[in-house]
Amino acid sequence: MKRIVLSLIVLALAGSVAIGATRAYFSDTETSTGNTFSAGTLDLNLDSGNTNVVKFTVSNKAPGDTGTGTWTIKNVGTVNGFLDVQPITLSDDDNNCNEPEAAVPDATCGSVGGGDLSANMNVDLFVDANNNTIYDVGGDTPIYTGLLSGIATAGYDSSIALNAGATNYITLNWGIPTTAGNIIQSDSSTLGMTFELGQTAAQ
Amino acid sequence: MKRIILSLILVSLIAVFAVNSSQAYLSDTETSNSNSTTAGSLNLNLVAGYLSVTDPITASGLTPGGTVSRFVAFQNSGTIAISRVGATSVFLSGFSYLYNKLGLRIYDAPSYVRGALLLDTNLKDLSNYTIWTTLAPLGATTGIRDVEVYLPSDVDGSYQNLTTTWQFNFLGQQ
Repeated sequence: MKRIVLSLIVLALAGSVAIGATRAYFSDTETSTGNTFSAGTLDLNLDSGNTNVVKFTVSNKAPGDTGTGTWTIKNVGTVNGFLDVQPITLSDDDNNCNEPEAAVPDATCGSVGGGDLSANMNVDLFVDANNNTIYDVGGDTPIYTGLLSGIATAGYDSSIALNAGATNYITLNWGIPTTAGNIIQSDSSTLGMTFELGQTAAQ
Repeated sequence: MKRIILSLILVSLIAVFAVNSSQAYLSDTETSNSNSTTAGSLNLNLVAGYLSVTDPITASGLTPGGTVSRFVAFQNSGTIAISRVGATSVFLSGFSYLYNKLGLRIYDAPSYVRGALLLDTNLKDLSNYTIWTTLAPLGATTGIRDVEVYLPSDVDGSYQNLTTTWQFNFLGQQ
């Protein structure tokens, strides 16, 4: 019986070798190595840099004065993006209280945070496509127009397309109306703006 | 049953993770803070010791042809230059009959010395007259004029014992 079993095992192994031998067909392999996947970059430059840009520091202004400032916005990354201008911060100070301002009268005369300049200063903030500091109807995109005091701290989710390598411009024109009067004497307004480049329009 | 519940929790966690991962888009922000605009100041002052609110022109016992005069000196204590000072006379009280008759002369007065005659008119007709131009800020300069009020020599006796009060308004403009 033992011999019979051993014989069956030997036959089985021989059969396996025979089957294996019949499967040795021709074959060839080629490789595709070095396939890589790299993430792109999305990098916003403001006036050719990545540090805070103080666009204007103007003093001793009076009714009738005007000014302008333009930010150069560039997507130096490799991914197309969408630009938003938010959040925006605004603060006022009354600074000093001289006799003409007090005589208006100005209830906040001389108080910190009680300035009247932003409420007496017109601004025009827009995407200045041709960088000429003038709002061109049909060519430029408005962001905000009105009194500086009315500018919102958020909500300018403009989603302005800015493709990789592309440059655009945002201009802020300001003017103090000749009707402003003595209530703004020595007052100051400080404006902060954040430019956000997002990968999607919804950001 | 316990395995089924654990599996469901695990599947849920994976789903949440997947959703959050899909919202981690690329973004970059740059700031432009501390942009500031400050208004200057404009403050016209009448130099103390000359014609002012507390030191007006007063005269009594004037006779026909009589005069009374005062220097008036302007200074700008603000930070914005004054390009023009306008002068206006306003009747306040008393006899307008007399006020309407009074004459006014304004002279140049460098260094508080009467100079050339600049204006000779009726007091009542003084309206936004340019009494001075260009006052530099921060009190760097002083504008001086000599203001003379007179009773014309041709007045008759109907003006006797009359009194009138008026006000000079000086307006400094940027």
